[in-house]
Amino acid sequence: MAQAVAHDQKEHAAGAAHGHGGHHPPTSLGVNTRKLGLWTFISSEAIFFTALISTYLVLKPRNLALGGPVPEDFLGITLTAILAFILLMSSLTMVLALNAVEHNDRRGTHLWLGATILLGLMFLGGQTYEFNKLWSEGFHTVTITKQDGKIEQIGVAEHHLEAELEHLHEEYPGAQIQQGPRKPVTWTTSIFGSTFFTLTGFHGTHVGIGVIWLSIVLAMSLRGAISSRNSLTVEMAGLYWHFVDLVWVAIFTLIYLI
Amino acid sequence: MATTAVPIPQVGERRWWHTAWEWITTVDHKRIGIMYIVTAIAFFVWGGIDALLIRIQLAQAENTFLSPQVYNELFTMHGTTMVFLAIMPLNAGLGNFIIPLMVGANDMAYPRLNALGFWLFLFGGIFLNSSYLIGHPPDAGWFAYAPLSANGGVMPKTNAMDFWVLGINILGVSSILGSINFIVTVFNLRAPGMKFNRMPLFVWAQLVVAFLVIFSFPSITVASVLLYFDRNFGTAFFLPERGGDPMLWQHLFWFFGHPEVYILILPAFGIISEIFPVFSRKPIFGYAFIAYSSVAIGFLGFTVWAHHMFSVGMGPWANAAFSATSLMISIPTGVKIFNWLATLWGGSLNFKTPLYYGVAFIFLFVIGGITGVMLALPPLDYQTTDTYFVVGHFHYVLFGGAIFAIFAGFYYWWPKMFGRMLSERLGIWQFWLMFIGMNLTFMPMHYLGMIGMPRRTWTYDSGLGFEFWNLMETIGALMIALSVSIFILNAILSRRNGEIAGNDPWDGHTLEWATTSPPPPHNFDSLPVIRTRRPVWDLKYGEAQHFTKPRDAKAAGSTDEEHTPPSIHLPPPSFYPIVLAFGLTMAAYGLLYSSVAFGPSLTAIIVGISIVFVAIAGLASEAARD
Ligand code: HEM
Ligand SMILES: [Cu+2]
Repeated sequence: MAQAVAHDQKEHAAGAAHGHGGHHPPTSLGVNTRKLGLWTFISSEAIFFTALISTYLVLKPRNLALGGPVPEDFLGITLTAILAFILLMSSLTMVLALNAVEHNDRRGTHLWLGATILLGLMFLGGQTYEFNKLWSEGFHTVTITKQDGKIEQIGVAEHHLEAELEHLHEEYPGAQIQQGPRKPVTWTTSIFGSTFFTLTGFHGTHVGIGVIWLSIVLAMSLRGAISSRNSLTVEMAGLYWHFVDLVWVAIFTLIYLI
Repeated sequence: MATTAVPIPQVGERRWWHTAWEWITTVDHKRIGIMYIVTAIAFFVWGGIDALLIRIQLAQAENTFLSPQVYNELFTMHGTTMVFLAIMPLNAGLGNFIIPLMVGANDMAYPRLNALGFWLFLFGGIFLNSSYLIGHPPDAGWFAYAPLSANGGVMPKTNAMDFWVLGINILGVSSILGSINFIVTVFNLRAPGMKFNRMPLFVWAQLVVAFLVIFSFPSITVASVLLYFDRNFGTAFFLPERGGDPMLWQHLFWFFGHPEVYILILPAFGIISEIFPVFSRKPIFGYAFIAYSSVAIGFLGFTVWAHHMFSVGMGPWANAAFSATSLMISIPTGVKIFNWLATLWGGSLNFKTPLYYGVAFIFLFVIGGITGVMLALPPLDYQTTDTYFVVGHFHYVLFGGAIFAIFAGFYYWWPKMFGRMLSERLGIWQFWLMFIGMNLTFMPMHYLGMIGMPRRTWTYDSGLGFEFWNLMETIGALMIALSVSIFILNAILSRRNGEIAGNDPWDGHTLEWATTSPPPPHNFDSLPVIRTRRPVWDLKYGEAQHFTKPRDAKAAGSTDEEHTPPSIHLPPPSFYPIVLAFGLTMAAYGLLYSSVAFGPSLTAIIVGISIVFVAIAGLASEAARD
């Protein structure tokens, strides 16, 4: 609030001259109106992803208890780490793009915007690959009826099945061990699938929207409609893009690493 | 109002469709506010008819006026309509009309987005209610508890709850966009001198509400989208037999649902905080306390959601924690009550209709607050949850609180909106009927709940001692209906031959009274200098009698190098908002049938989304031009 008050006085002093060069016209808060709106929207989106991530984490133990697939068996850290790296790089190129715009560097603008879009597309490609891989992999729900009558269910990845069955027979001698049918890891075959595909699917959609947005900005720039005067157009797309990257960092940490 | 920048083709006389087109394409916050209010009153009446039918059914024991299924549909639609289509848009409408005037702006920060918010609200409401005609109305309660709602509502294999899910999301988009607009307007478009701590308390309250909306709605968005997946695509987020978790629904829903009740009531607090000082001819007592207690309520409102879930088995620790936070909320609420009372105290009271409603508000809201505190105690809640005691509680806060304050606001601001006064005589009649009817309807519910009458049940056995008070409640409901009819009559008569209001009929304090009634399209020709919280009062009775130019809405948002001189520029009308809302609604109809008719449904979705994209492009190019 002190800030707002201070700004107010400055504005009075500046009077009709409107102070600082028109780039950021006077607003009560001193923040550009469009940017403020985008920030507000992004804070709402943050809650949206928080709710989705919470859903994933809340349902995770239930998935395991019912013999759903064990996430670690299916989510390759390597691929995701590469994806995370790609997205983080795209944040860097985004910063460079904005910097180029602010210096009226047309070639740099095109180059870095193009690079950001390309990295975004690479991320989406990687995600498609991962989804495909999951769909083609299978898991079995193994039911163990112990001698004291207790029943336990565990999900076993197809490529572990034999080893795991052997291991179980050793661990629970005399227990009855039944192997369920092969199920692919899809959106509906397990709670893991439902939560995972929903969460990463919504994130991927956001990346897709970001790519479209950046492509429009790039097209405008190629037509010469972008310069340091309206660098805000690039800055806005960038804000959104950084947010989407940040969400991936959260997903990567909470879903893949933990 | 016909002097807007709207380029009306000069084709002889003005036909009705010129006027209609003007309203459809308007981006003027005052017209949008009026459209919100008129539409919301219509939905309020509709939701009221639902309630009357429910009350007729309950007037006697073992009544068969309604079937159980229709009863379920009616209480679901009643709750959903009143929350999302009546009280929220009434608040949004008052906010739209009043906030830019109160902060001395020419319009909202994003006028076209503002129009979009209204059209999404209207289309969302139509979408939801079209279920009566082309399907089955939702029937699993406004809280849509899963797995009941996930399995197809009470009647399996209908898309009733899909109407609910999709309708709620259209309305959610509308609310979030509207709230972003409020936040940015209040942050950025205040007139020079209108510092945060000089802002009218109504603006403070609406600002907090806007934050509550943007932080709570995503939770119901996620919940309802997952519900939609469960219902249509074979997932099992909320289906326990396949590993899903019904408690997850309740957490996601109430994380939205409790802030939502403050979304409904905080604007009411704001209205009361405006009316009391004017009608006591005194400054508000404890301005800062009232402003900051709104913020405190907003924060705490996010920490109490599970008090709606005491009896589902969260365990003693969770129950105790959520009980404690719930009790804490009564502190900032109590602070407000005492400040309002202190404002009235020793004032020279001008007992007009708005003050009648205001004083009654305090009385009724305190009753609702007390029962709220009672329900926040798990042992008591175990006994009363899912009984009529809860129904009594929330009607005292929602009807006695929100609706009474909104009527206070109508009587107070109607002259500013339409230039004519509402009749005092009819107003007082309406007030007493509503006050008596309200208490007759909802007070006995506490008793009935205590002696065990369950809520959400279509009838009750005779001989349990429920008959007499249920009959009284139905009579009370009819009195409320009569009272609302008197209001509508009052509004119509006022349009025709109400007393001309003049700029400042109540001897007001805040900036909206510094302009004409109704205000011109650009709101202000000039503004009084703002040095205190009561600029118009200063103008009339203080020393400071200067004027300044109002802030230019367009200039504040523009990014042009050469800055336009501070002349007033209003954005031209636009038809893209209604087009965008139409496209989105079309996509929603597509999604409604995704599991029964995939082809046509996909077509509707694709066409709808394409329309949305075209409209976004149109809006973006218009935004670039102005
Ligand atoms: C002092 C503040 C309040 C407290 C401590 C409080 C507490 C509670 C509790 C514990 C319940 C759950 C009862 C049950 O289902 O067993 C409840 C229900 C409810 N309250 Fe409040 N309340 C307060 C104020 C309000 C306000 C201001 C509103 C709205 C303007 C409100 C609206 C509702 C509604 C709509 C329900 C019922 C929801 C449903 O089950 O459909 N409450 N309240
Ligand atoms: Cu609550």
